[in-house]
Amino acid sequence: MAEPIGRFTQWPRPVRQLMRPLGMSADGMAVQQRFLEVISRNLANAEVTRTAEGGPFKRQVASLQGGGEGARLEVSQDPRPGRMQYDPSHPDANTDGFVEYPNVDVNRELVDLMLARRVHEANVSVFQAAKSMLRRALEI
Amino acid sequence: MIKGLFGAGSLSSMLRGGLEETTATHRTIAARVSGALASSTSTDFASALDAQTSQQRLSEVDLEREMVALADTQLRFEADAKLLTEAYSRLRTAIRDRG
Repeated sequence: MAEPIGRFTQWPRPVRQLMRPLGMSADGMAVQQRFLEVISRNLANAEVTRTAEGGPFKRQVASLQGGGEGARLEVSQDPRPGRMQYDPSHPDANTDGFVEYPNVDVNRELVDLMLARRVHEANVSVFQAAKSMLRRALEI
Repeated sequence: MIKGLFGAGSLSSMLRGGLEETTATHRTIAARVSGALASSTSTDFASALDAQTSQQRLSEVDLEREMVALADTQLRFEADAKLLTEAYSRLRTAIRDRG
């Protein structure tokens, strides 16, 4: 699953030139927003042992493919196995009494969440700066 | 005479150049910050490498340095814009007023 990033490149040329920093920051914010969505989905499903596809929930990872105007955001599954926990009373326990939980490490997800939020805030700052510079340029 | 007022070596021309330069710098900062994080995770490798990997992910783009450069660029742009407004205002006065 991949979705294109950089829709501002479809704007007419004069507008594109003027709004380029705004567009780039907006794209950066959109990417971080998708990262936050993926991380929150992982956290929400951190204890799900049975999904519609069968087996426990598999951790999802979003990554940027390519760069610049042709960049695409791809969401893939983390192939690593989940943690096994002995709990014979669990309805999803195997014949040996072990339950496979999702391969989601909550602490690591929270660290990733902080990183994504920090970069999102940086993009917001750049966007605000571009906005005030544009406004100032129009006052000349 | 007109060339002396608006030509290549004139004050307004230099200030215009300064504005273009700061705009280009800002565009570069925007591009670097928007691509600062290429993945939503830092656990693509073995757990022993995790800490190192997470450091590398952000060290590629030093956000603090980018923010400092952003503030600097913004101030330069403000100064250039203000001086250019003044320069145009003086020119306007010289053209309109007959003394």
